[in-house]
Amino acid sequence: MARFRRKLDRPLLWVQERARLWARRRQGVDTDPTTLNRRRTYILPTGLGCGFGFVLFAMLLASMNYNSSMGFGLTFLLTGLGLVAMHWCHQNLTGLTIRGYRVRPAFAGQPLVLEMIVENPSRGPRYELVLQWDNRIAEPVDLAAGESATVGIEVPTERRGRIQVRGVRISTRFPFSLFTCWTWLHPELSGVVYPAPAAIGAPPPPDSTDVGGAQDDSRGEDDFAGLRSFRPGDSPRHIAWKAAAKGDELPVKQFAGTDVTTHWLDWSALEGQDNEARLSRLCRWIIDAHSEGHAYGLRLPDEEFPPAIGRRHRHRCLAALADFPATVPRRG
Amino acid sequence: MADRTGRLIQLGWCVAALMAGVLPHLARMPIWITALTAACVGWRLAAAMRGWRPLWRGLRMLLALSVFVAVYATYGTINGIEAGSALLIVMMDMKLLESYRKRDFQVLMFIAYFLVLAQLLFEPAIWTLAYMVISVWVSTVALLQAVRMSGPLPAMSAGKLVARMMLFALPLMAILFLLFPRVPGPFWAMPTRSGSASTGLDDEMSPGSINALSLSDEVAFRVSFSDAVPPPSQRYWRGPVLHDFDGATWREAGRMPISRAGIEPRGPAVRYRITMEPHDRPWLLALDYPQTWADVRAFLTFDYKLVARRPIDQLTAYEVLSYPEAITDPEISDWVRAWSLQLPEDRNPRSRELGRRLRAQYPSDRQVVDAVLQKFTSEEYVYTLRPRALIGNNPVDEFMFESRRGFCEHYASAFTVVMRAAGIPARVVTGYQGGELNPINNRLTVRQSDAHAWSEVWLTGEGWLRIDPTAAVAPNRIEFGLADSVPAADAAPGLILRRLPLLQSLRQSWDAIDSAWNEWVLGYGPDRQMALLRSLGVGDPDWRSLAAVMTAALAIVLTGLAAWLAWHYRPPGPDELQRLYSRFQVRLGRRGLRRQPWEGPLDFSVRAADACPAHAGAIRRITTSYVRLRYGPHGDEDELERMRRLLRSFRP
Repeated sequence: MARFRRKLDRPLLWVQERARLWARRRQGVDTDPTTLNRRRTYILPTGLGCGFGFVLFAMLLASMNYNSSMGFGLTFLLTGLGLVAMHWCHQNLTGLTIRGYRVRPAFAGQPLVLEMIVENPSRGPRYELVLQWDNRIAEPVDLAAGESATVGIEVPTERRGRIQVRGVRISTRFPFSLFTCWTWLHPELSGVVYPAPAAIGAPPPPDSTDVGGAQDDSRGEDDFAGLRSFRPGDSPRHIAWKAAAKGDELPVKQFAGTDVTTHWLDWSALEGQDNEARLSRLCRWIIDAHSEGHAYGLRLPDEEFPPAIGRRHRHRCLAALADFPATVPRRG
Repeated sequence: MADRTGRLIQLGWCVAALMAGVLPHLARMPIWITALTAACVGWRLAAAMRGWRPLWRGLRMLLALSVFVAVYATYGTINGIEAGSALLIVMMDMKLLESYRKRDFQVLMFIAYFLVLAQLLFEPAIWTLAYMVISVWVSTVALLQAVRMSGPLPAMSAGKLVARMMLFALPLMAILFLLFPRVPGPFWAMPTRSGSASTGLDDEMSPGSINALSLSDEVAFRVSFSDAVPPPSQRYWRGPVLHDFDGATWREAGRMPISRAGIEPRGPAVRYRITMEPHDRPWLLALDYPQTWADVRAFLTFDYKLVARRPIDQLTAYEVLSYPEAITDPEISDWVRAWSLQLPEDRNPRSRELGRRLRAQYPSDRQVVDAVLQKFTSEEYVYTLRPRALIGNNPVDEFMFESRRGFCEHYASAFTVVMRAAGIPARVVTGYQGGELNPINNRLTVRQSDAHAWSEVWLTGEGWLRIDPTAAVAPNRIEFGLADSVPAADAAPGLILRRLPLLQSLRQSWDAIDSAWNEWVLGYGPDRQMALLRSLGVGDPDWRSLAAVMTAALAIVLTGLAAWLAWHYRPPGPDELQRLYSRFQVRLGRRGLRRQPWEGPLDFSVRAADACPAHAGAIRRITTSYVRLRYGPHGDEDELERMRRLLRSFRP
């Protein structure tokens, strides 16, 4: 049975993919925000809907056979309900606004999260909206009038690199699952999958440190300069735990120091390992340097990122690792 | 995903829907089906509350097999409405036991729809319309809840939603009902319902059989006449004609089709439409003597019965043209004559002797007939609902010469026997006589209590002649019906009720409603569809024009639905705060002060206050309120009220 299902599914998937590509050509790339209008919402009966159709047909035959007016009445009442349900299903999707598309980067092996905000800018409630990307389905959401919700889809990753968001499907089967109404979203987006970091405790980067106060915005650890609230990426060492115990905020100690340790994380320092291992190691170094608040630079065969700190820098460096070509560029 | 409470609610709706579908069935099902249903529902609810696992698969299979066998044993078949709905109910019970997933509940709801259908096929009375709407509503709410992935909706909003959908589905249903091209069935033979379900004339008559019918107040059929309603003395509704006699019981001989096209018309014609309640027998009642008929597949037998091709197990409407004064069979064939003279040699000797004596006494057949009728009038014969039971071997003799108390079948039987003994071809005709004219809709309602039996004799040159010996004994039976012709002590409760004026008018009103329902809803068929199209101005309508009009009407309603949905889901308008602030701007605008696109509310207020210093305070306060409400953390009802008040008196 399972094998039969798979055989049946494959041509179906092929058809779905062709249909999606056709819709992609027709709709073009979606802007942020995207409003789902009637021209781009499609509707088809579900398996249950076909079953319902079969039930109606059987009822019609029975009513004809018994020449029963009340039988016709019931059959036609249910037919009417089916038609109303079809319109309702379509209306449940059209008019929604999707915005704030983003893909949160992930390390290989961790799930990549595609996020978007689904907004219901109308006076009627929407039910059971389902987002789907690459066979992954998000929890269905209900939206009251004027409400919006952030929906995330997790997609597992295996290798570093870029994952193109090719088609996201937003669909609904409300009210009775007799019909499914859907549209494809094509935000021009890609998700970055950083290499998987090497295990903690791997050798630290060689100490090619540069001590000095070269960077304006860099901060050392010598002079305590005050507290600010916690931001992701702050080193746990800088959290003012005593102050934290008093309130619900996490204060972080800030220093106006001059003693900045700058690391150069260098590809060539990892001679003798294969590429992926080198990338993993570099990845680990970047994570550690960032969490400890060190400034660091990254040197790859073709690229160089001068030392800096901050989330943005971290992302640029890690993305460079993700995009590192699979075959090493040979250098003279 | 739905949590445990959610699943319990989904199951609860599902059970409610099934119960709504199943309850009217249970009344006529054997008790074990009710017990089984109660047990299965109870088990499933307990399982949901206690978190029990489904029963072992083998046990369920065994259970399913045994209930299937039990249904077969109870009904002897699994076909037809009764056995079919019993099977549907036990299937539902079995399915309920294993329903743990969404898909199972969907299947259950489809079964619930079928249960409603079975009930409607079985009993299409007017109250079933309410039953249909309510049970479809419950089942559909249950379906809505069952397919929800994230737990059930609140009962209120789910119920309201489905009610709204049904409100739109109803006009669609009406259009489809009126215009969907009907193909007259049946396509396959259905076993008829068991005889116990309905009452009506039988194909045999023995002393006491019509008497039993006369106690039933059920409607047999209703008639609407195109012209004047014929007088009571002509309202003889012909049913089974009985030729075979074994000394006590008369039986229908056969249903040979008439060899000619029909009767030869003579005298005035009566055109009428009969709406016949199902009686599970093939005969159609008609006034003497039917010449043509429409809307029903039927044929006329050699003895002028109108017989349908299949048993009447649904309400059936047909139109007949009858000629009450037509002459039938000026000549009869030898086999009909022989048949109409047949008498068992060894039974009822005294009656046969009477016949022979009269034959010898009178030269003409007519005189013999009159002599027997004379005997009934002049001697002490009593027309009664409570005749003495005739238990002997010679019931006709017993009645004729000893008890002399009888109901119509006694008189018809005795009269026919004497005729046959006298050598006059004669037969018993059963049917109905009379009927109650409802003044509200001018329809004639004929009930089972109007069942009657009379005789027909064949006289040379005159053909078959209707002789009603009951009329000789109790003329009121023919003119005024049963209630006024039997002794008061005899009357059944139903007959007494008929004499109370208030109840009588209530009865007539209900009868008129029921009759209209039968005629316009249950009797709606292809001919009515064509008439409807003609009244809409479609010349020469056929199924194609039906389909075209139907599609157009559906499109109109669905467009209306789409428009309503678009309105229902329209974007929200400006909120009250926005409206108040625009009013503020409009009022300043009259003074020539317009907020520039780049100007924030505060900058604008400064400029406006400078321009009209008289109102500077109000302008500043209104703007402060607006800014606070718009950009502040929370809406404040007092602040909004202050703004409203300020604006009311703000006239720059």
